[in-house]
Amino acid sequence: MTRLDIFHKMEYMAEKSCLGEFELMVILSVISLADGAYGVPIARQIEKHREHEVSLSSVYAALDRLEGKGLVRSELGDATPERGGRAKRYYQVTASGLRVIQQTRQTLTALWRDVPELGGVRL
Amino acid sequence: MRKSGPPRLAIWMLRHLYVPLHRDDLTGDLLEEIQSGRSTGWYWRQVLRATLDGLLQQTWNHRFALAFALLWTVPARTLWFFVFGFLGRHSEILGRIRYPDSLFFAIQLVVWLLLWAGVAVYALLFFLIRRSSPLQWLGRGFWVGPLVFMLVSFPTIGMAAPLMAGDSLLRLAPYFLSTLAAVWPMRFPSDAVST
Repeated sequence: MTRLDIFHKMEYMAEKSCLGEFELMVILSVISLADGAYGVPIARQIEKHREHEVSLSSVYAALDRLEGKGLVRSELGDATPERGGRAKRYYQVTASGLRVIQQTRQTLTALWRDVPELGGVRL
Repeated sequence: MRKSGPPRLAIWMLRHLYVPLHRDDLTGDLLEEIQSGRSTGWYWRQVLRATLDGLLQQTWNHRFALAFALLWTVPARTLWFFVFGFLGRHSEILGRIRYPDSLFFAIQLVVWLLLWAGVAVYALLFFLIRRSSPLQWLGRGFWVGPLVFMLVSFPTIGMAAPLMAGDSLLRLAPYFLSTLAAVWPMRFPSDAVST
């Protein structure tokens, strides 16, 4: 492996493990919805907690990025009449996605503890 | 909610302006939601946001074509000035032209050559970087560029004026838009998900 390959790999890994706020919400929704995770319920789940309207196209853009990073995978379900004969695209979190979520949680929790003004307790 | 279903214009916008990869997914989701009681206003907000996302995504996917068109505009316009400067310094050449109208076509031909050179350079870059043949888009680029130039230059510049008057952003528009239209289908990032 050349030096360039190593830097490329490191950059790729750093990018892969870095989740934006909205991406984090989307991937958590995918996990909590289990087998029923497609556009509509994911958007509704986020709306329920965020308490304002969520754009479905933003959800798909985030899912695209997550799929590109290998954190979720998708497959088409059956076509249904209430969708005008269109199939639902179901999403599932991958093992790599679960790992990244755990890492993100640990990092955020550690950072949160360092801010006593916001209710954290400095260890 | 309208019983007749979602607005036709909104459906048309989704079909033509949103990214193809999720077009069916999103259309199905929106239909499902509007049937479960969401308002037409909600539907429109979703479609407008999706349209904006689609346009931004398209812009990002073609960022190399945009950058190249911007860069090619400068030498194309410079060469154009050079040709006209030459003709201005040698006005006797103009005096000898029996059919002045033919000068317009000669000028157009210079523009076409500039555009074709741009398409060829971009196709070469495409081949060198992507290791993929640009031949399928090359022929299209050769006729689309001049066509767009003619369509845009008439309203923005006038038929023969581009060379006589001073430069402005408006005068650069035909060069930029025609080069962009000619190289648009040759996309560099092969890994873009939403095409």
